[in-house]
Amino acid sequence: MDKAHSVSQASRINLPELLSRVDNDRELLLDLLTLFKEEFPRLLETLHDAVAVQDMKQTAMVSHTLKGMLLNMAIPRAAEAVALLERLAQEETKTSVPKAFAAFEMEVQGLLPEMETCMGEVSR
Amino acid sequence: MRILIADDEGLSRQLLERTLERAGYEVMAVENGRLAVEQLNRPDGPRLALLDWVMPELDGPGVCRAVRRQQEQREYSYVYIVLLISKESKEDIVTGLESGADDYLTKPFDVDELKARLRTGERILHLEGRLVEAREMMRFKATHDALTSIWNRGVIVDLLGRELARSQRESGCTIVLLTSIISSPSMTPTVISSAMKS
Repeated sequence: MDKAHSVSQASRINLPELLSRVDNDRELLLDLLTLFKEEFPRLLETLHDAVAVQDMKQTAMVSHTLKGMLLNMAIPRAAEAVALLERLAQEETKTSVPKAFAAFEMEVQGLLPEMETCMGEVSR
Repeated sequence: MRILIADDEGLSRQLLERTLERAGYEVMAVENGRLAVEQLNRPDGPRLALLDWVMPELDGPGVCRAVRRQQEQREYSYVYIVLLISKESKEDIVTGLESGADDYLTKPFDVDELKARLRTGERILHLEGRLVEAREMMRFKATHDALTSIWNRGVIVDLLGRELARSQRESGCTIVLLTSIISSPSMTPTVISSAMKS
């Protein structure tokens, strides 16, 4: 089994924590999950482009936004991975940034389908 | 109570907005620091604010500094500001508080902690309101006659001094009209004004 597959098997979204964060407001949680599903791919693409052209300022800024989103959605491992990327970009450690980005990409692989499952559970 | 939320990240903004609305606040949400300053520097703007640290155009500490500067220049009511920071770094906390923030909250926030900290803010704003009220009352008592509620001697002498200095500076003249008004219905502002003109 490859690493990406094993990562996607583990549950990355802490649903009980997420529910407590929204005071058990399932309707709000569904809205947030929908917003996340819309925003996340766009931000990931922006981050990909920024890393590709070695734009450290933009990399740090988008990483920061993603970190906030992931923490709000109780996805700690991916938040940690993107926090490392943010720090490296702030320090302008250009050589380490692509590797950190690859690690982050691997961490979030399969996240959106998992979010779909989570939405199903929330709307039940 | 009205509260301003400033956060460039849509998800976080929506989460805060809905959480605070449910807690009974009247929420105004903006997406950058410049818009936050615009709202908070209005005389009738919200007096409670929750600001993200990292924002486009102007960051959270920048908003704090702009709001405090404005408050020094004009006598606007106090704005209680809570900064949202990503991590509990001592440097960030010190920088944030020194920029004029009253409190800080670490992201991702805990709902109960958020509400408790905002309640603290409300208590402080309430106390500030009572202090301003008491100060205004004392100012009125110090400058007005207790029986008639018109200016007292001290204020009149002070104003007269200033007017005389102004007319001297502008090479003009000052006319002092000394009159006794005892419940005279004919002494309307128009009558006084025309008497002064003549």
